[in-house]
Amino acid sequence: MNFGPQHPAAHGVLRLVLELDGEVVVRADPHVGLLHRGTEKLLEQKNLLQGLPYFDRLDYVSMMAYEHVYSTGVENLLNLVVTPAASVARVLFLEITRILNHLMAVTTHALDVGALTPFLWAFEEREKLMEFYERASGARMHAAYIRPGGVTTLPDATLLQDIATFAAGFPARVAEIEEMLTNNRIWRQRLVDVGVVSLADARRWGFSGPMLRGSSWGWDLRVAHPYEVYNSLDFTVPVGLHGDCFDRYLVRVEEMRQSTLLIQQCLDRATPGTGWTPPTQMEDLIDHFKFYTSGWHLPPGATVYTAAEAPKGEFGVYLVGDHHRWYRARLRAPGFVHLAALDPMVVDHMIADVVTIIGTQDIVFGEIDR
Amino acid sequence: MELARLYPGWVTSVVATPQGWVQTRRATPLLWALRRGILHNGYLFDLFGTDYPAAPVRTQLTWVVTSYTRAIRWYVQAWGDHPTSVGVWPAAAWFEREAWEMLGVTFAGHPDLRRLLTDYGFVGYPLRKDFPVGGYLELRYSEKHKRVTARAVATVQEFRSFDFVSPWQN
Repeated sequence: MNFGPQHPAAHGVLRLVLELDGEVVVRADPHVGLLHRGTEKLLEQKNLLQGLPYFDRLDYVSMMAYEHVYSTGVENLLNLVVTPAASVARVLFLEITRILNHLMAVTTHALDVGALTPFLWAFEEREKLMEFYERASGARMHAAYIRPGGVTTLPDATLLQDIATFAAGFPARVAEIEEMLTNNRIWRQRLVDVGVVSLADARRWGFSGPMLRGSSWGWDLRVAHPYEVYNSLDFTVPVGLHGDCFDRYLVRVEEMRQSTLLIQQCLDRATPGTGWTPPTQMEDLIDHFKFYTSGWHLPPGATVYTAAEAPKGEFGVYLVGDHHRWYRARLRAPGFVHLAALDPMVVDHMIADVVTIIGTQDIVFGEIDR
Repeated sequence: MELARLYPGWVTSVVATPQGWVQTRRATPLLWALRRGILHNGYLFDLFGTDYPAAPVRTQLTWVVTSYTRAIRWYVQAWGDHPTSVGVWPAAAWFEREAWEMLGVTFAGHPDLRRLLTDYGFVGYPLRKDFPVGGYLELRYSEKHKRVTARAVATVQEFRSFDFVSPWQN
């Protein structure tokens, strides 16, 4: 039976070919690639700055997390050091991005399972967060805010104030969503003991992010390979116990709370920016023009692999320089690895559980198809 | 680095940094060692190919293996076709499918080596350097045939590639 590619519970353009025995799944074969845009090939034509916006469009629910990995990749390649102020602003927006993503993940999952209300509430919060994106970068979603070498402009004082107001009120919003779901009888019946992934399986399938932490392994690149200012911030990594969909839901909800704490810590350290001044001197203008049109010189053959903890899991970038463009850019998307394990996860489940398991994998096709 | 000491027969060279770049001719036993070895506890983070048309064997494969217990990442690099590593990590299945369809490198013994990201019936290996960015075929809806038909790509403006090498620099 065909599930998708237009099914709303398929979270995008997933064509899932299911072999069924009555209502029990015997085999699931995901046909992906309907959103394939050849990002890796396109990056080979672009210079350093032109390549950046493609990363917003990979996972269009957690935009800045992906451009951050690209930017750190470039920085590692060229040995650039980011100023502490920019690093704090990065972590601030990375955690805003994590909340953006988890709000979407948890509540569209609930929507698929049949609970509409949390979805409506969460999208109101997402709207506020995307307004912060807009005020910082000018774009609601495809921000191109975190750039190689830092950020475009540091957030100004009023923006920081408004983020603080949001962060103060947000735990109550999370509590409201949890009140609707966590002890809800239907929600529990649909999620508890569904899509159980043992720790051994999660490791063999290469899971990362909440998918791995739901299976009781506290592995988070923010702690394991600390980057930016994470090792000086105080937060905990929530871990599930049973590896079922319900534990992964709880992990995501707790991560939203931890992200709120991280946002508050970053706000305490943030340096307010004063905006960006366009170059006025002729020499500055030439320099600026040269930099924006031809990009930085990337040493031919210089190779770097960088990974960081995106909201969905570990996102990795492999870059090989070739003068003013990339010789090879490889994107390792967490959702790709998770979707590859969909077949063993859904086998012997009822067909209604397929929807639950796709929801818990937090699938976005922008990153899977690339 | 300890890898060269432990597996001298398999490792050709090791660049000793916190992230180990390992050159090898036979990747599979090394991958087993990285997964099974008591020190390593590795999982397959990524597997991909890179096209070097001028090289004797044009595709370079890279297995990225991260340790779940230690803050180490290994990059195992080898050239050309290899036996599948699905037996080592099932996660390799889709990575190998992708490398095969994008670069034409084969993995002997792969249980299900089908196209993954490209269209049904796609011809060519898109990530090879000699494959044009625009591709060869474009799809359009034909009013006459009442279905989607393919035809050769016809772009109004020819493909332009700028190189920014300054005439003043060498």
